[in-house]
Amino acid sequence: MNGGLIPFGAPPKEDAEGLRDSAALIRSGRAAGASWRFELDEMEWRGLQESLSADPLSFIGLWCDGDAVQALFADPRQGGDRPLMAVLKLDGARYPGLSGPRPAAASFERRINDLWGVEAMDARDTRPLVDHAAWTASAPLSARPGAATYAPEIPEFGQLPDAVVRSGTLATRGPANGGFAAPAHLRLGVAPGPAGPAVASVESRVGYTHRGVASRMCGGTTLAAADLAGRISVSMAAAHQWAFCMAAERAAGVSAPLAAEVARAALCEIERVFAHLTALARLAQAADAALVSARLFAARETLMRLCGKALGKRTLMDCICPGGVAIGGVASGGDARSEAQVLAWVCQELAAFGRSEVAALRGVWRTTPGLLARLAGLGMTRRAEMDALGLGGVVGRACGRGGDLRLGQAAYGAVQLRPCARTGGDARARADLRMDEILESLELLDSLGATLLAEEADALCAAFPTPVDPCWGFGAVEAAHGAVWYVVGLGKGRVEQVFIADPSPSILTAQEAALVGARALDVDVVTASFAVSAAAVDQ
Amino acid sequence: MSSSMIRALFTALLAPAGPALPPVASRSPLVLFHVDSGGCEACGLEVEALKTGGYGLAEAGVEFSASPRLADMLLVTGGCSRMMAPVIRAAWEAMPRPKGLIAVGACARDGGLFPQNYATLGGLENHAPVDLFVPGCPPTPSEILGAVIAVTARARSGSTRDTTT
Ligand code: SF4
Repeated sequence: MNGGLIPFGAPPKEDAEGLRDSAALIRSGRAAGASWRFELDEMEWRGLQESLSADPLSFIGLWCDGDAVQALFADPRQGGDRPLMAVLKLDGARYPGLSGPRPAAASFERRINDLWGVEAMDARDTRPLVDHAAWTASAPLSARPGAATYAPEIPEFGQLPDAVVRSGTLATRGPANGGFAAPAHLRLGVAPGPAGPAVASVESRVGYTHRGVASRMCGGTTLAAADLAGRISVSMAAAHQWAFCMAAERAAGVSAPLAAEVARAALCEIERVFAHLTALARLAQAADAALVSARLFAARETLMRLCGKALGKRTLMDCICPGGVAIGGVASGGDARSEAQVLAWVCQELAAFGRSEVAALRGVWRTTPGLLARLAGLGMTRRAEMDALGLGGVVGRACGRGGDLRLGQAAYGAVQLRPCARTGGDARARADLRMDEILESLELLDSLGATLLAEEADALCAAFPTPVDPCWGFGAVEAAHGAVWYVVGLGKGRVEQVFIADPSPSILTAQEAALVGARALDVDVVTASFAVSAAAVDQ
Repeated sequence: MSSSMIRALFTALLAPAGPALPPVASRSPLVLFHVDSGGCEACGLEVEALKTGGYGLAEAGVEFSASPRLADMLLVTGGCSRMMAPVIRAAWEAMPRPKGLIAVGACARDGGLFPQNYATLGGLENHAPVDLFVPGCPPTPSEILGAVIAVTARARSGSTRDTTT
């Protein structure tokens, strides 16, 4: 199945200012291997660049494969999960960038420049993202990689504000602080403020965990690529694997059995609980609420032990594979019905755990003296900025943005889903939302478990022959931290192209903005409230 | 940039500046320092679970430190990216003697799913004097604890390092 979701043939419309409708403009290009991929020439791409400034089309990702740059959008008027891809063949090492009208494109443009040496014109941000002159070559993925550059004597950082230079200090965090999250470095200019020293400038340096995951996927089997998708970030392992498999299945025209889709949804909900418990426990730790933190970590450990005991895996990577799921499971003996039963049992155990322990935990969370007050008003995000970044997930929903990919998914069809939202936009809103989502996911697990038992699945995995003829597919999953998208090109019996969009770089951008003005002693609380996965930023 | 300068730079980034502790022959409790050198965070998370998940670490006198200057044992997770290599080295050099090095997870041994490429060294195997490799992708907290105990016991009995695991 090569999509078939986007209607063809609508002529480009013009609005009062003479700007064309971006979606129609993309569709007026030449079909490029799938009903949702269109090749534009440079003039058309420039037209797109212009029209985007006055168009609601959501930006999802921008990638390069050496020959072309490819931008993926979703049309909110069509439900938000129907993508549209614009392809521009490169003529030289520059292309008109998209970060002007779509700030979220900036991290993609920076990554493309680092990996391929292909530069975005009119770029909002030209700093390197993952290449900080420690690699064996510059532009390592291009046909002609450059020589290795040597790191400058001091890492290049931007100019510090005058107030910091005159009477401030420099504070740094990471990359190795003895903590357990992936390494990243924060450089904060701190200047005296009315309420004590406050952050005047923020620069994040990432790239410490760049492994080149997407490029490693190309040329291998879909199974090997799915394993790698599960190793982007532990807090979104199942979600990345599902999104990859969804894209590969769409490309190959394979449908996973419905029971497998339900099992995938259940695995993602368990992962969401796990990721939010981790984020909240680390947040409570940063806010010096040691007892709450200990209970949250204990709850996470219970969940992990349960999964370890029943599924043989404490973390949920390697359960989702092309064609369906391969849960294995200590007690299943490998047959589909007992595999589904084992997972259903885990779901229902967790739901029961939610009703007792997690509900009590929420009470402790709310009544711990000073904890909520400590979080209130910290790390404010503004709705307009989140809209500009197109950021969903916890960070977007905590300032009132809607959108949840689960709403349109068949796997969730039989269950009641009411995505939670808050409007505060501060650390407290994000934390409260994570707590709401934990309880909601545990409720969902109860229903998903019941659906799994009722399905009487004969098979949890369809055969997956990788196509020989080139084909393209897309997949999107609501991961714990936001929407994860994959575009996958298959052909010659292997994976040819993989493009990954993860919300983490945009969360990092939101965190940078929210840190400005924070009191120096609140920095760790603010960063913990965003729970950025540096491993997912770097990939 | 000379390697000593890189080291000096990262030493400064690693921890608040202060005089290095003099080497101490034996201290109690046993102090661990963790560095994620670039993986998927699962191994780091299992080390965190070892600390927070009721594995009796505190009771056994094992602690985690926020600075390598106080640590007896370095736990490295992840595949050792070229950007993190000088950081690991600086952490190792900041630790007082005697000291141990444990590579946690497949990545930290030979890169696991992420063998050497332009950005990563593909694990510590050929780059550092590792006392024990903990297999797994990721290993469980109990397996990591087992390695900590084994290396401690080996150090107490004075035997040499074993890289055959
Ligand atoms: S060994 Fe496996 S689980 Fe551990 S960091 Fe590497 S990829 Fe992740």
